[in-house]
Amino acid sequence: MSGAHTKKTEAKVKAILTDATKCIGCERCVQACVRQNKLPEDYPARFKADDGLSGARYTSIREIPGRESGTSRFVRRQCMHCEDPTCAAACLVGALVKRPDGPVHYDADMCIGCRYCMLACPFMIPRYEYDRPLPYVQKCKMDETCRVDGGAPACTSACPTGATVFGLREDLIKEAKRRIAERPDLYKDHIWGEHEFGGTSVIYISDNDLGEVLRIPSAEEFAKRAVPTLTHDSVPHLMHNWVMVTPFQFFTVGAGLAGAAFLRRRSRVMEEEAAEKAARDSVNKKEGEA
Amino acid sequence: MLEKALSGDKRYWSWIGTLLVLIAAGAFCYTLQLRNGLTITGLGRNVTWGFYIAQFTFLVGVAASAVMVVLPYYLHDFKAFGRLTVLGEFVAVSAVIMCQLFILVDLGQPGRMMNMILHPSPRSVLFWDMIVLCGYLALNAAITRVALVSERRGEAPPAWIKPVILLSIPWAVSIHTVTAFIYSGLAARPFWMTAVLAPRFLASAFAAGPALLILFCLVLRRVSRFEAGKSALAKLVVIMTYAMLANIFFILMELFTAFYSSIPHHMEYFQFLYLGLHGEHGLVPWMWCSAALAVISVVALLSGRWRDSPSILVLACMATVVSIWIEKGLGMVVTGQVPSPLGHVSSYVPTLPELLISAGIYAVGALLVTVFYKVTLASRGELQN
Repeated sequence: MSGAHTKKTEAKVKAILTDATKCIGCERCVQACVRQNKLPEDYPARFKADDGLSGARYTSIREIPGRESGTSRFVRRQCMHCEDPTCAAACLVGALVKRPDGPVHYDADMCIGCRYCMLACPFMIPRYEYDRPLPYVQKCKMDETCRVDGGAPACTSACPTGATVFGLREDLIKEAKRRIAERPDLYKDHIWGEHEFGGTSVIYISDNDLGEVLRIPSAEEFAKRAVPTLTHDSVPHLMHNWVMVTPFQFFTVGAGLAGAAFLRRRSRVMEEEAAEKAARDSVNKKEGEA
Repeated sequence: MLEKALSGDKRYWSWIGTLLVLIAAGAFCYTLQLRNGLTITGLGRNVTWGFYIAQFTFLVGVAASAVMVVLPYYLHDFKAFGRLTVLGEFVAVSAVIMCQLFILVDLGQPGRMMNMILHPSPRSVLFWDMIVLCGYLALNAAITRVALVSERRGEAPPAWIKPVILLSIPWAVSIHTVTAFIYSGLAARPFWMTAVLAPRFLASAFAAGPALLILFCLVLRRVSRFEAGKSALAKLVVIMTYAMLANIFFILMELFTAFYSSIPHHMEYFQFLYLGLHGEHGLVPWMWCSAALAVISVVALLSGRWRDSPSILVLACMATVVSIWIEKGLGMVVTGQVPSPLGHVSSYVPTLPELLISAGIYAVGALLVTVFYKVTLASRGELQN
């Protein structure tokens, strides 16, 4: 477990870059994902919240207002595949694991269904199959099971405009920087997911703020809500050290209690001795007087 | 030893019968849940932990509160609690078993529970909660068993049990502290992410637990020859009163921190609880009821003339328990999720099957307490019949 939280992004990490300026909202990525993963009919609204993801939809397209009034931007939602995922740190059984090649892998056989990952995820991604007798947590996989020809996932392969592409994380970050440098008038000078919460393997560029739709509060948002600036440190990194000292606390408390018990006993013995001595003295005194 | 629970008068059997009916209803609803999934509950995307986990949280507090009779007796030689410690520890055992049952029904499929033992991950706060809860159950099961056996034989308990009892004291504090850490460790949930959560949990537990124990003692006084003793009850009242005052104080501190600094993200949870937010005010009447009961019970308990009247004492204890049950069993867990991290407000109402399953689990706990108490009083020769 050592070093998991300070891990530098490895060279071979696969990632997805989504460029919101190119997305036309056709939802072909969603359809490709549904086909590839053989997903059932979608859940009713109660299980979907407002972002379109559910136990049967691992990716969705959200529409947000564009930079000019009356226009729209489309933003793809999916698991961010954090470099150091909070869900994996929260999981009691290690059912969620960050793979060195990028995906945050979910092991259904291991999962006990407690849904703590759903509370812990800062992006609110994992969904639960509430209607199943044997329910699992579901989210985007980004692994071999969804890769089609050429090794890219079905979703990015289906994109007609190249708005969402698959590749090595470091290449995609370079590409994102290149696009931003080329069109500074168009793009916001920010790569969402490069550093947020320790960095993610799904990154975004756009011409307007994606903080709200991705649930990554911007710096101003952080300041407004007075949340400490967590964006550049992964949450597990922040709490890991504290969790790992727990066993030592048992020993410290135990030693403290043993010490207290020892002192108490010693003071009692001393009191008894003093009382005995006093009793002896008074007897001696009486005898002397007699 | 258990055979002593199998004889009793008509009143005893009708009580047992009522509990069994509730357990059967809960079990039936649980089979529905096993067949259809958690869709029969009110849970959804925004509220993933609902009524079950809220009851779990409340009951961890009840379990921890046994320390309030164990500690004065063993560390401060408060002899009047001598006859109460076992009763408190039995409440702890029953409460932990109820906690485990609530976890069991909250998981989608109970068969998967084994993975908690086979593949534990010490990085998770849940792992430590499991350790402290199971450890606490084992400690109290051992303590109560040894106490019962030696009482029946009329001997003093063996010396080796004393360190075990002393260990159970900090352990009791740890179970509720770690349970608070499950919530307050989540950086994305401001309502729970507060340093005062664990102290608040402990304060409310140390009020609700002794209040329950007083009520149990008063019931036992009516149905058996058991007499807790005036000074024991008076001491429990003192503990409960000041724990409740501490609890109210902590809630006011939370309100101050949120509203004096006007942090929107902290205020909106309390707005949701006490005023309603974005048209959702399901919890508002409950929370005001809880606040009113808290004030009423504290006023009644602080006035010497009132608390000496048995009927007012009963009402004040009930007010304390109900007030804290609303606070933890209804408000605490759901509110942390309802105004979601970006302000989306959704509604959550537990469904009838969800409530019946919960009632069934409470009935299991009540049955355990009844049987344990019956066996204890029988071996002390304090039963009327």
